[in-house]
Amino acid sequence: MGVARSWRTQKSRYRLTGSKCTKCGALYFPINIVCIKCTSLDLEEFQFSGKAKLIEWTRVDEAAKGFEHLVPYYFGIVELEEGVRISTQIVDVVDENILQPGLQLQMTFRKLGEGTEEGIINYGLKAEPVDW
Amino acid sequence: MSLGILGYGVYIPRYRISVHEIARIWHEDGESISKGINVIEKAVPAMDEDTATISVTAVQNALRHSGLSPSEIGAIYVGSESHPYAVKPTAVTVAEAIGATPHLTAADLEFACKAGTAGMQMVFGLVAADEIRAGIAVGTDCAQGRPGDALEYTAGAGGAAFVIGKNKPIATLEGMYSYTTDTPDFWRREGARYPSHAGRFTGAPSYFRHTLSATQGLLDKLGLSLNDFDRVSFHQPNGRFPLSAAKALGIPLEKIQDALCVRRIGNTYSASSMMGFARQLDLAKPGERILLVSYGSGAGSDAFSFVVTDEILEKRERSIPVDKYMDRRTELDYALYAKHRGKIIMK
Ligand SMILES: [Zn+2]
Repeated sequence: MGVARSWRTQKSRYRLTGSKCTKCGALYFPINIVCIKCTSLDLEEFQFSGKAKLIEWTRVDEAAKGFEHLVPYYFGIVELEEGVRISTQIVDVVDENILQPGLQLQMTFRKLGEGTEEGIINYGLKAEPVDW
Repeated sequence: MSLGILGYGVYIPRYRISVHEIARIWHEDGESISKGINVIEKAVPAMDEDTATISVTAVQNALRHSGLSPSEIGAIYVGSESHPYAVKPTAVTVAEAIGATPHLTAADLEFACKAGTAGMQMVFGLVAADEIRAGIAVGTDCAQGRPGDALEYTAGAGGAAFVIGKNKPIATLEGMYSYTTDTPDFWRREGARYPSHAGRFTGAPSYFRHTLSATQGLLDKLGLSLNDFDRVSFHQPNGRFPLSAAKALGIPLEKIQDALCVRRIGNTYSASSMMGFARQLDLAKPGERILLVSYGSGAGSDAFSFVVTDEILEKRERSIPVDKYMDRRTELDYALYAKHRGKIIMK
C-alpha cells in the first residue's frame, strides 16, 4: 500500500469508521459516499463497535508478499454486530478447532504487514477470538 | 475537583516463553536462574504486535474504564524505548486509533524504563495548570535482549495506560518527587539492535540508589512515613530487585507482592512499575494509600503517592484486570520465540 492510499484509508482501517445512510439507515464499511440501497448521497460517519462473529474462514499457507513470516495465518469473513460483513485476518488463533461459524470475535489493532525496512508501517484492525 | 487518575488499562500479549526454555538453548541451569531472578516466564508479542499496537489496546481499555470520550483527551504521551520508528511518533498513531485527533497535543518520551511515569508527570502538570481537562500517559515496551545475554530472560512486552484529570478520580494524587543523575548503567546507541549494560553496576549505584532516594524524597516532601502506605509498586527489572528495595526500606512483603507482575510477564520496561501499580489498583479498597516508584536507567526515579477513592468501586466493572491478561497465555518454544522477535533475519 502506498503512503497516500494508506493515509486516505486510515480512518476506516484504524477505527472501524463506516457510513450510515440518513434516509434509509443502511450501514456501510468502509466509508461510502452513496447509498446502494436508496441511492441517497446523504450519508454520515458511523462508528462500528468492533464486536463480531465468524461467518467463514480459510487458512493461508502460501502467503502474499510481505506476509511470509505470518504463515500459517487465517483469513475470514466476519459479521459485525451491526450486521455488516467484512473480510479480515483473524489473529491469535492458537487452536484451529475454535474456528467455527458464530465464534465471537472482537477487532484489535495490529500491524498489517512488515513493509520494508525504509517504508511506513501500516496499521489496522484484525479480528481476534474473545476467548480469554 | 481533585487531581488524580480517572481510569487505567493494560495490555499484555498472549505469548510466553519460560526462563527454563531460554536456559535450555544456552546450556544454563534454568532452575537456578529462574530462582535467582525470581521470574518464571515472560510475555512475547505476536508477530503483528509492536509498541504502537500494544499502546492502542491499553489506551482503549483505559479510556473505557475512565468513561471519558476521545474528544475530551487533550494530551497523549507514549513512553517507550522500543518505538517502531526512529522518526515518527507512536503517540499520533495512538491518538488517531482512539479517535482523539486533531485537537490535542501528543509526543513520544524516552527515559529507559521510566518514560511512562515521566508522561504521567507531564499530564498531571497540564491538568493542574488547567491547560487541558484530561490526558493519557502510557508506558509500553517490546523489550529486546541480546540472545544469550542475561537480559534475554527478562525482556518482556506489555503496556499500561492512565487517564489523568480532575473529575471524580479513582485515586487522587498527593504528590510527586523525582531523583535524577547521570549514571551509565544501561544504554543503546542509535542503530544498535540490542542494548548494552554494565552488569553488576546496574544494582547498588543505579536501581537501588534512585529508587530509595526518590521514595525518601517523597516521604519528606509529604510528611509521610512508609507505615502510611498500604500498597507499593516499584520498577521490576527482575523479581528480586523490588523485593530487596522493599526490604531495605522496611516495607513488609504483603505490601509489594501483589505488584510483582514481572514473575509471569517479565520486565515490561516502561510499563513495569505502572503495570504493578495497575494490579495494585485492581485489588485496592477505597482509602488505601499507594506508593508508585519507577526507575529508568541513565538514571532516574519518579515517585508518586495516591489515595484510592470510592469511585474505584463504581468503575471496576468497566475494567479488564491485569490478571485476565496474565492468565491468558500460550507457551512458545525458543524457535517460535526467535521468529516472533525477528531474531531470524530473512533478508
Ligand atoms: Zn439509503
